Amino acid sequence: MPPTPTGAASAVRRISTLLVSPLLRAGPSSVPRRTLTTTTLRTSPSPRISQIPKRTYHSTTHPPPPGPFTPAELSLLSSAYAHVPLHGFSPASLALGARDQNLLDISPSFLSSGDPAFSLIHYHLYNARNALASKKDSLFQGTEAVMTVEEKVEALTWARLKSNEKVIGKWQEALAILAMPSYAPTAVKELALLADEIYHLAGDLSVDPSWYTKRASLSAIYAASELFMTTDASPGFQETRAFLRRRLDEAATAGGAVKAVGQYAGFTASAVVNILRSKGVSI
Amino acid sequence: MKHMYDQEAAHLATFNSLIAKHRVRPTALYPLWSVMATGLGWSTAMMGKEAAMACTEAVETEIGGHYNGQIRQLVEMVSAWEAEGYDVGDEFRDLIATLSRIRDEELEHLDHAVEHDAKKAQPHWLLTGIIRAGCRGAIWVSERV
Repeated sequence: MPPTPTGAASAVRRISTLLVSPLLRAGPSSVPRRTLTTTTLRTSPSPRISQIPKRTYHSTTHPPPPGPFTPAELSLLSSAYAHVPLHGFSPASLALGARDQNLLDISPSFLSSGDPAFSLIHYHLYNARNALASKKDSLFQGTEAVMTVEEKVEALTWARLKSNEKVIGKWQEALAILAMPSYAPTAVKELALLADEIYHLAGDLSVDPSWYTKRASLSAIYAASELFMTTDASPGFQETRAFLRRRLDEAATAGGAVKAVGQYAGFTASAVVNILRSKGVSI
Repeated sequence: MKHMYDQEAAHLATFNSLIAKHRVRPTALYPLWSVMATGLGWSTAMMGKEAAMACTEAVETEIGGHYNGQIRQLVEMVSAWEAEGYDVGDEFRDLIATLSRIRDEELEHLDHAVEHDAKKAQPHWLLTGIIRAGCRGAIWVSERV
C-alpha cells in the first residue's frame, strides 16, 4: 500500500489535480487516464502558457510543492543519516538506517535516485537548506531590522556551513561524489537553490541584474568555503569563518566598483545632455 | 504627464515587490530592455510630440493586451479551482485585482495619448506597427529567458 500523503504534500497534489482536471474534461475520451504523467500534471490548461518553460512561483499562503523525496524515503534517509558520522555517505549507513526502522537491508535500493549513497548526500543538502528558515530567528535574535543584507547573508552562510560540522569527516568524499558528471546537475541545482534561499531569508529585494550576480558569487564563495572547511582543523572552524568573511568582503568590493562605474556613466551621460541643451540643441 | 509618470513609477514598484515576494527569477535581459526602452523613449521624443504619443499608444495597446491575457489565465485557473471546491485564498484574488487596476490605468494612458494627437504622427501605421511588434517580441522573449 502506498504511504498516505499528509498535510502539505496532499494539498499540493490536490492543486495539481485541480489544475489538470480541465484538461481531462476537454481531452478526447479515447485517451486513457493513465497517460497522465508528472509532466502533464504540471501543465496548465491553456496551450499558450504550456509552451513556456515553467518558472516557479513562491506562495506565502499555499504549501510548497513536495521535495525530491517521498515521506517513506525521508524516514529511511533520516534514520540512515544518524549513521553518517561513523559510516559515511555509504550503503552501510543506509542498511543500518533500514534496520533501525525494522526494514529489510535491501530497502535502500528502492530509493528513487538509483544510487543510495547519492540519495543520502542529496538528503543532507536538502535538509540543511530547509533548516535555514527555522534557524533564521535564533540567528538574528530580533536584530533583523538593523542588520544589513550583507551581514544577514554572512550569518546565514555560516549557519549553513556549520550544519556540515557533524559530517565534516566524510564531506570530502561526498564532494567527490557530487562532482561526478551524472550527479553534478543536481549538485549545482542544490547550490543555486541554497544561494537563492539565503538571499530570500536575508530579505534581499533586488530584481535587477544583481539578482544573478549576487547568487552566482555567493554560490562560488559557499563552494570554496565548504572545501576549505574539510581541511580546517582550527577550533570551532575559526579559519573557515575568517576565509568566508574575506571572500564576502572581496565580492562586496567588486560589486561596489561595478556600481560606481554605472553611476559614473549615468552621471556623464546626463551631463552631456545638459551641455548640449545649453548649446541650444533641442533635446 | 506628472500623473502618468507617478502611476508608472508605482506600477514598477508594485511589480518589483511582487517579483521579490513570490521569488520569481527576473528576466536575464533586464539591462537590454532598459537600454532599448530608454532609446525608444528618447528617439520618439526627438521626433516630436506626436511621435512620442504614438509610441505611448502602441506600447499601452500591447501592454493592455498582455495584462488581459494574464488576467484571463488567472481567472480561468481560479474559477476552475473554485468549481472543484478548493479554497483559493486572497493571494490570487489580490493579484487579479492589482493586475486589473494597473491595466485600467495603462488604458487611461492610451486614451490620453490618443486625445493628444497620437494619430497625427506620420507615418502612424509604420511607427505603431514597429513599436507594437517590438513590445510583443520583448514580452515573448522575457517569458522564456
